[in-house]
Amino acid sequence: MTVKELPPDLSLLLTWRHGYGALTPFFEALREGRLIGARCPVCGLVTTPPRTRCGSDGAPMQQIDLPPTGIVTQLTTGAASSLLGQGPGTPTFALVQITGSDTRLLARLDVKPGQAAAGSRVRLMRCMGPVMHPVQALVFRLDDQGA
Amino acid sequence: MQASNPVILGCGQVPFRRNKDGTGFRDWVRVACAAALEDAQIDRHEIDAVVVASETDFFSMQVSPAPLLVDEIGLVGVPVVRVEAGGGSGGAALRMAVMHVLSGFARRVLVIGFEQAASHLTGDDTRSVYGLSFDADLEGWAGVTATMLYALSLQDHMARHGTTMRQLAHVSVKNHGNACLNPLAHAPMAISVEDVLASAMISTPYRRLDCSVISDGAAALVLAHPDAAPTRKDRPRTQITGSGSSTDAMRLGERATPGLFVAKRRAAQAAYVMAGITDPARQIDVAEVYDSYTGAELQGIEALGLAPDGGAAARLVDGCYGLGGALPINLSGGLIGQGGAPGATGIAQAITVSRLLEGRYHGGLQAGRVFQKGVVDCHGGVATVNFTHVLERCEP
Repeated sequence: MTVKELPPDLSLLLTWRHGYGALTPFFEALREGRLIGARCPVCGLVTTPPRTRCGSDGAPMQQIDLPPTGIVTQLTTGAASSLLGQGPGTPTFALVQITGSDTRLLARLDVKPGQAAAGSRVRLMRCMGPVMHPVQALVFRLDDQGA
Repeated sequence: MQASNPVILGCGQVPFRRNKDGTGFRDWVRVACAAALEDAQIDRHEIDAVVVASETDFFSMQVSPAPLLVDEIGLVGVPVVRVEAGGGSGGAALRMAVMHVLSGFARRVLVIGFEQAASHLTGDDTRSVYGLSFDADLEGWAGVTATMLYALSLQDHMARHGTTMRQLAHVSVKNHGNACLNPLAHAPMAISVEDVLASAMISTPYRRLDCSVISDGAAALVLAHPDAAPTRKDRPRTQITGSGSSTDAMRLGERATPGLFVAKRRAAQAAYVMAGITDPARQIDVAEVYDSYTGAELQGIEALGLAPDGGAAARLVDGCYGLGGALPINLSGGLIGQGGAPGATGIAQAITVSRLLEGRYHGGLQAGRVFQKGVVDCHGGVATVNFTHVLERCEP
């Protein structure tokens, strides 16, 4: 048998039983259309996603509710999507400065290409359908209610 | 030759390609290692440690490849470790080998890098695997791609410095052009700035010709303590005089300035301190910089201290980093022109610079020039985990 006669394609389908650990409250809140973060009791740093310990001083962070709104600081629209994402078409992802947070959050925007720009105000959408991974509920739309 | 700095005895590399000839990573590693040992003029039994780099078993479909490869190249019995740091895996392996030599753990280390990144999986599957190389739960599973994350980082650089895509296109023209003179390169192309600007949009503002090439490949080198280096008078050698590494926040949104490669700057500073480099822009003659995207090359040049912040684009357009420039960067073609086989990349970079320092790189790229000091730089993530090494020419 020559090399060319050997079967060229191999396929392996795996299923992971995944745990979300300390991220679980964040993901559970997303499903309810809420956004949570964490505040450092020492330096006051607010982050979202919530961190368990402050990146600056190592102190345990306290979970807090944050407004589900923010401002786009950078965004990109991709012609080529990852198979891991949900939804057809050309995905747009942005760094969003969440209201009340000191850090930016990477999130998908539910917009058409060219509809959003740096400076656009956005609001977290309520997840309506099933998702494979809970982060796929982290989707913002343009906020027509303003800040 | 300095008393304790590790010496590169020899090196070998297979062409970076999308291999469609029925071969696999075992074959490429065998060829690269045989070439490295022959170049080093030592017998394989003189190797007393092996370090293997590869980014992910998703690509190779071989869990725990290190002992397999030790067996494959006839070194059973020799201790081996496998290191991984995404696209910086090769740099991590080089650093691990430096540690072996400096600590006295080993006298002659064979450093191997490989990746079967191009021919095993489809493009869609590869993109998904790469998505998981960032924060899988918070980014990868959201569907973001590597190109998107680099695009977000670049836009911060563009906003702060006014960098334009036309300027960045010069990186692609330069690196694909250099690849034309490198017989091991995956993507040799004579292209123009207009070609880059007209290529298909991948993730705004990055177009196809702004992106590096995903390749299959393997590379290997032998690193030794100077006392364990065979005497040879026929050519200069290369010593590794500095090694630095540093990490940044995993998620771009948690970096104060997403377009600034601060961890790469820290890695470089550590390497420069070790090597006694105080003014890299003047003291470094040649560099291989991790150009996963055109913008990443400029961001990297600035982080490495080879240009002031926001100053690399103008120097690029002026030809400073080209084949005949004052500070040639990515003469191999880099990841854009030579190709990116993640586990092998950092080692291939070291091979390129060492051969340039020794005056024996591909003729059209060596171009008769003599280089004394060089830098190799690679990273995983968006400059999340960084490795910088300083290499210096040693006369025979």
